[in-house]
Amino acid sequence: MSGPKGAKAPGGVPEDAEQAAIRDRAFKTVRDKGFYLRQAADESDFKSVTDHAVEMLKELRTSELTPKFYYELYMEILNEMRYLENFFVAFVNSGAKSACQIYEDVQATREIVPRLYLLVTAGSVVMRLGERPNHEVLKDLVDMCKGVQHATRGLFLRNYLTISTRDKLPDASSDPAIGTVTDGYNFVLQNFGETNRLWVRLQHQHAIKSKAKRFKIRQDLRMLVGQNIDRLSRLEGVGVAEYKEVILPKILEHVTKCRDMLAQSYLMDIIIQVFPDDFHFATLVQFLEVVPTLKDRVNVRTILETLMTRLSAYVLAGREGGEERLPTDTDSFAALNDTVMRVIEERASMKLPEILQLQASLLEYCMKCYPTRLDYVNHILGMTATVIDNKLRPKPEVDEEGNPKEAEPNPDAPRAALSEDAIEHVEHLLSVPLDKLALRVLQLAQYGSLLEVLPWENRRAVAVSLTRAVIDEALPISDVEAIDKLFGLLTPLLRDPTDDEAAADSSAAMALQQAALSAEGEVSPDEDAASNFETEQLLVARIVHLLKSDEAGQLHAMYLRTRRSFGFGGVRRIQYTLVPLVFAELQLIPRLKEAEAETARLKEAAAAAKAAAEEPEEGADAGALAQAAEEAEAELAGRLAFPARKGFQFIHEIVTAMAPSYPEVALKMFLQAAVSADRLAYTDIAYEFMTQVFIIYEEMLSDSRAQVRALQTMIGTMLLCRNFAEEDFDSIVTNLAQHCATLLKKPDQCRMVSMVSHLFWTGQPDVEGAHCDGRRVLECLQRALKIADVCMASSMNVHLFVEILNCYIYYFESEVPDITDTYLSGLIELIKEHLENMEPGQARSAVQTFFANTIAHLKNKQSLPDTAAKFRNVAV
Amino acid sequence: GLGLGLGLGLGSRAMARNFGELVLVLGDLHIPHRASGIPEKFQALLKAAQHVQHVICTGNLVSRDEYDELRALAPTVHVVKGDFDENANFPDQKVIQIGGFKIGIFHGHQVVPWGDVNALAQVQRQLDCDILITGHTHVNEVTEYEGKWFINPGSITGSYSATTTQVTPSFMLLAIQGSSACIYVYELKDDEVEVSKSEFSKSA
Repeated sequence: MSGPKGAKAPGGVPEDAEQAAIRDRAFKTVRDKGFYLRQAADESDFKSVTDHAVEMLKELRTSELTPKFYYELYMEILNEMRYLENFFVAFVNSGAKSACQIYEDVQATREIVPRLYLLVTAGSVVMRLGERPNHEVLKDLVDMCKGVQHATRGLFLRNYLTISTRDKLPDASSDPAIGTVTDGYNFVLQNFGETNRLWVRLQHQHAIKSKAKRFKIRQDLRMLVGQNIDRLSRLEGVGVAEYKEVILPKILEHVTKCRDMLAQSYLMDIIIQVFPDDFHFATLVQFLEVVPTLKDRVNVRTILETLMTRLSAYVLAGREGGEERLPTDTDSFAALNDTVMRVIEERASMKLPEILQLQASLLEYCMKCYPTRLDYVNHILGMTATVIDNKLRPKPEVDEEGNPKEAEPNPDAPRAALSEDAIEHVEHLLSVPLDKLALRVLQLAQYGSLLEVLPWENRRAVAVSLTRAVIDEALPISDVEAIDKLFGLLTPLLRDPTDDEAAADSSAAMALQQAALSAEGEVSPDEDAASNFETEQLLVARIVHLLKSDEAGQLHAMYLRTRRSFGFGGVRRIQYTLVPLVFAELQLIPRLKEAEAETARLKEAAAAAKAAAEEPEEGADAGALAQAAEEAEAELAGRLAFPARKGFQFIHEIVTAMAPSYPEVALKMFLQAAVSADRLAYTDIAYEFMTQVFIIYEEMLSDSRAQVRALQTMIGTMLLCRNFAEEDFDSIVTNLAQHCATLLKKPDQCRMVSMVSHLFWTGQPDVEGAHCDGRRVLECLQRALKIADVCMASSMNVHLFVEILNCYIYYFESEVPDITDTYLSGLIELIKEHLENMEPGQARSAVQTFFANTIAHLKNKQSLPDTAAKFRNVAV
Repeated sequence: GLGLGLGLGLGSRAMARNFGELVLVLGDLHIPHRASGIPEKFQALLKAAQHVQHVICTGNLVSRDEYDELRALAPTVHVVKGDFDENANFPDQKVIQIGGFKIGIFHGHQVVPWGDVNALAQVQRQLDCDILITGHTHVNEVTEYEGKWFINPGSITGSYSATTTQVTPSFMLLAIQGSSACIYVYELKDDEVEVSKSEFSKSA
């Protein structure tokens, strides 16, 4: 407000400073009159007491004070009024007058405000002393108070009435003589109605110029109205029936009629706050009917949210105690949903983020109260998608007369983009059901529709949450259809966006560009983005382990489907996603083999049954035979048979696809496949896999350390294989031995040549399928020694000698006839010589320890009775 | 009853007081290649584990997230590189000292025939360790060899192995006090955790 301090705003109430001055003058009058009042009371001078009281109460007639200052004055006088009431009681008790007489007397007061305060005080005394039934007095008082229609004065008078009668309302347990609970609540309802009217009217009192200031003042005074509602909720005689039949309808009537934004907001809220939740459930439809009719500026979203939050908490608390509190006669979801829909339809001014927030709250209510009702969830998601579509659809162009230019809106017209707010809310909406539903989200047909309104990057975020939820839940995924649905939702994790998709989302476009550049090595990939990408892909990879089926063929079909989806992921993704699929299939193949055998058995049985049915033996039941044949045929037809070979083919195809980009991984996968094929006696397949291993080794591995790693695993794997034909095994081993001998670095050569020796001795000759060629073992070791001998530069040779000595010992212990104690003794002698010549230092002491441990081992063997004879001639 | 009691209170305060330093030994997780995660019952045990000072992992985690999980379990984590680990920071082998024991760790695929005690003994002599910890075979084992101990914790996820038809998920807990140690083997059989115990002392 403008204007100098203390000046009286033209046509309005004075400024604050002057208000305070007026208030202080009034305070002084109140104190003075109060003093005289007490003095007169001491002398039991009734006339004088009431006169002073009137003088004091006259101060409340002012129109100069804003409600804030008026309130301070009112509180000051309230003190005196308590004193006055006690005086009246004492006076009546002394026999001088009856309370009813006082009640009559004070009505003679000329000014209405003092008269009514005195009347309420006297009425209170009448009731206290029981001279008249409470219900009569209350009715009279609440009617009489209508006399003051000035908003501020009326509001405080009504408050005085409320306070003075608070403990005198007839309730269920009251003596019937003073009235019934009906009288009690009718009184409060009437007082509430009047109070509310006055409160609303304050908005239209133009003594205070600023509309906003009036609003603020009213907000400060709202408890004057609210306490009436609160009082109603405290009447013990008000049960759900009274609430439903009388109280709520009456309050709602005021809500509707007052057409005031603040009153409507406040009253709807306080109803929810003060009455018990079971009342709300009993009157849900009644309450909700009013919601869409509220004024446009009332925030109906918060009202509905408050209600839903309370009701869901009530339901959950009940369930914890084993009690179902959802009403059985009304579907609370349907009622709430209808209201939400009406609100959205009828409030054109409601912004999309607001609508989405409301839908999310409804969804949360639904997840809490109706966790099994997927149809409800689906409905909400679908409606949300529709609403978004409507809001974003361009409005049809209109001509000058306001008629649409085109008869039909163009369905392909570009949509407006979602605001960032709206995007956030849609993301939230989609994440609400994930925790509880996880995999069951797939049963929500509309989940995908809503997901599609999001930009690519936000869809990806939802997809990550969905994947996490599905993995945490760990429920099996057991049909192809579920896989398709799931991968449909997870699309942004499974592949890069198309140009169009990326164009619709600037952040996705950037991410894509970044990835392309980093793939070309032009920029280093953003570390965070790379780390997120890896985390996401590792999550996707884990989904493979959720695929399960009792039928091997079915599971294989599921893997095929998964492989197709993963295939679209491109080089960056397959390194994470395809490896689990290979292992899953490797695990499945033995089951495929069993199923294959079982199918063969069924085929035979079906053929036999058919033959039996076509030419039934004499006396046989032809009908039963025919039926048996049919059944056998049906069982066969129901099987999804994939031979085990198909499984290996599947692996072959995947690993081949990976090889160009990830040769080392592919090599390991082929080796895994080779062992598996060998163990299941598919030796031709095992050999083919080993061929692929060599192709990768020879054509794609150039790093010498990678070569060593590959050879180690190749040798280890070949040692596990049992079923190779002799010539195949030999050709593989020969090939391996050549590669070991041609490694770039001498120490690598040395170690790998001695390692490959194991393939020449896989067991004693009496073990079936064992390869035992002691001569070749010895050749390897001698060759290794020669190579070690040239590693002198780094004095690496001594260490290598000790390593090779340990190999000799290994074969000596393994009873390889070509490895004799002479070789051991000779090598020990050689090492001793070399050790002496070695430079002192860390390298020497490490070798010394190694050697000492080796010698200790030999000595131990010499000392044990079982081995003493064999080791006796080893010169340690 | 100690072994079974441990099944419930892995690494309880009493244990820490009575058993000296606690070392969790595990490996061959193969997440996400061969398993989606550590079995729930094991996870519950690990989560409840307190006073564990060291984690020794024989490798093949495979994902980076699993390494973070391990680091949440104990102040020090020793990981060696498995044949499927891509992490270039993991060493091929490691020798550490805990209590009176020198412990050598490597994944195991580097020495053939895989899991063969006599072959592993060569590495033990080279690393000069009292306890040799390896993985790779997915079969848990505690073997005494010339006064030394060879330990393989198996695969904590029970993940696929070409040579074992049914892999039993397992891990181990080492309680080391001075020069004596207890090994508790935790196995998951029919979704029940079974615990067995062996003891040994360092030979003089």
